[in-house]
Amino acid sequence: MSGIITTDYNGRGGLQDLDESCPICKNTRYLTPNMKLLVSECYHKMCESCIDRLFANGAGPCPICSLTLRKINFVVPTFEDLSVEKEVRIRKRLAQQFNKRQEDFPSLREYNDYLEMVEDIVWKINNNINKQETDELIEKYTKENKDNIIHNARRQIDEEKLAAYKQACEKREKRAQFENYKKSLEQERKAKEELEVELINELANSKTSALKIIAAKKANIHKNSDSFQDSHQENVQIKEWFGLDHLTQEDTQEFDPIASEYMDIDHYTIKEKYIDSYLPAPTQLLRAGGYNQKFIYERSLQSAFSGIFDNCESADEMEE
Amino acid sequence: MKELYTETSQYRNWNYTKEKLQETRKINHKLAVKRVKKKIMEESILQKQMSESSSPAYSEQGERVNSPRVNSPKLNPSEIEYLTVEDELALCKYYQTQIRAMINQFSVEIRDNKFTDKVWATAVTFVKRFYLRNTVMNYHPKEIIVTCLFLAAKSEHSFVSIDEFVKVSKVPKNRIFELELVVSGSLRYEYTVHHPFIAAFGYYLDMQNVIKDTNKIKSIYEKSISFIKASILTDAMFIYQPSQIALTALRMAAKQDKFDLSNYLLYKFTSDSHKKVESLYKVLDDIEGTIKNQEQTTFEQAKLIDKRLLRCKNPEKNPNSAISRKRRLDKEANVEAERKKKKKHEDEYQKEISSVFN
Repeated sequence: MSGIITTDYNGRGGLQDLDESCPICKNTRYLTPNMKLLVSECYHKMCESCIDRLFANGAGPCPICSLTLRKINFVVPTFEDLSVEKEVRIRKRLAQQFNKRQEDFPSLREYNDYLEMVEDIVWKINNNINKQETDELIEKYTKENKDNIIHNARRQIDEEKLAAYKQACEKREKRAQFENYKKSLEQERKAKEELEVELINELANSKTSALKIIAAKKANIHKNSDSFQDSHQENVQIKEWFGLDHLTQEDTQEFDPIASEYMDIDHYTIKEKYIDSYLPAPTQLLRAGGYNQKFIYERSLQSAFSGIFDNCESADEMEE
Repeated sequence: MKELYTETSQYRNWNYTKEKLQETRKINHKLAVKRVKKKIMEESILQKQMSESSSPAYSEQGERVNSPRVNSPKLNPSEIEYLTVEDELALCKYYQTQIRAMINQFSVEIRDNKFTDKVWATAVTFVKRFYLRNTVMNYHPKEIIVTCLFLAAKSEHSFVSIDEFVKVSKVPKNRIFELELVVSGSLRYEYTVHHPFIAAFGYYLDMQNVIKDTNKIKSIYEKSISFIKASILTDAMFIYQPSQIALTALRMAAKQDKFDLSNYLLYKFTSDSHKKVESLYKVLDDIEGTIKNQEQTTFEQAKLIDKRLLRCKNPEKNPNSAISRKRRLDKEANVEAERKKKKKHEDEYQKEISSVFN
């Protein structure tokens, strides 16, 4: 296959096949490098000049499958493989209706069933199986879940807004930090210059030994540069109004990778040393492998108190 | 937020209330009896057919089979007395205690280094979990305990070679390997068992913060191990948490030592509500009752049940039974038919080719 890197008028660059040809006029790219292949609703490729010619007088039949087409409905394909293009588009269309999330289902099992149903529909549409039945199914679903669809769509928009908001915040913070850093560098440089001038003046006018003066000044410089780093400016937080007030706290909370998702086991405090003759002493050999009695102590104490109130708690809660 | 122990497979899949445990056993038993009954009927019909139709060689073979219907032709299959839930449990219990005896038959070196208390406890738990989902009428416990011990040694990281097991148990190697998969499937491949041993050690450490008499603590801890071992043989593991069992064992050991642990407990649970602590004591009393009141199955009892078991074993699992034989024959016939079909095709093909060249 021979290929050249081209950029089409949408700014999309890609490897295009020189042998690629329009199935209608059989024109190849080799002969007309400017040829643009567009895709119809029925997923048939046609070159732009053919489309102009065929649909100059408004709607007309597709020359391949004779479906009625309009010029306006032709689009530039994203994927070279049209079967992929078709499936992606079906999915995009269906996602507007089938936008349920896992939270909407009482169990994972039901969510998976739902996902499978969606996959089935995609498959059927993609392969033109039971077209009427599928359409009815989609319509029925849309009617039944009208509220949920609208709700989820709104949520998605909110989430996108939130993500954009977070990104904007991050960007500004970074810029502010960079500016601070630049400022502090500038200040430091200026201070250094001043000190040098001072030093020379002192050396010229004072009667004490030059070495002593230099030593004293050096100590001063160190102090100053430290204080610069300490005077770190407060983070400038930019809060912009995006209409996000109804989002829960959990949505806006930052994710903490170290936080445990389980309750702490309490009732014990671990000591450094215990009297015990059961564990092997931490000899040098054992320690080399990472052995530390403390881990075993902690593990034992945890298992001693984990679940100690297992059957008791439920009774307790009912009383309350 | 969840507590970590609720995520263990032991808590998720092997934790029951007392009533639920009994109910599960009852339902499983009912289903098992139904299935075994059906198979035994089939077997008797098949055997009749065989003895009527086939050559004397068959009946000779039939004699050799130790399946009950052949040995006691007078007994009508519908009159067989099947094992009850209690019988099954008693038999399992007897064989659970036999695991220790089996361990003692290994060489001293292996016994002391490999078969720790933990391995033993895991093996017992495996047997218990296995028979929660299976019946002794399908798999006889004398083979299952060997398999469970073998699996337990592996899952507790103290591997003992299969040859040693064959030497001690006289169960053929292949049979152990075969059952290994059966047992694993029934355990849902969940090999991790949380025992009260570690928890007891934790209490031993924690008590040092409160009780000054270290010798006493040590003696209590060491005595509690035997109570924990006793608890392993009961159903406590299905119902209570390891920490609760460990605390009970320590309390029982303290009682034996004439030492009062209640001060320690009071100190430990001062921050918890009164009701909660009260119900914890109730749980501890419950466990104590289970450990104290467990019934041992004597050798004589086990023998009697075993004898009855011989009559109502599932013929499906017996390789010498008529059902298995029929199945084997069917399979062989299938293979043979397949082979013949293939041969026919091949012959036709050859013929075609030769006809072309002639």
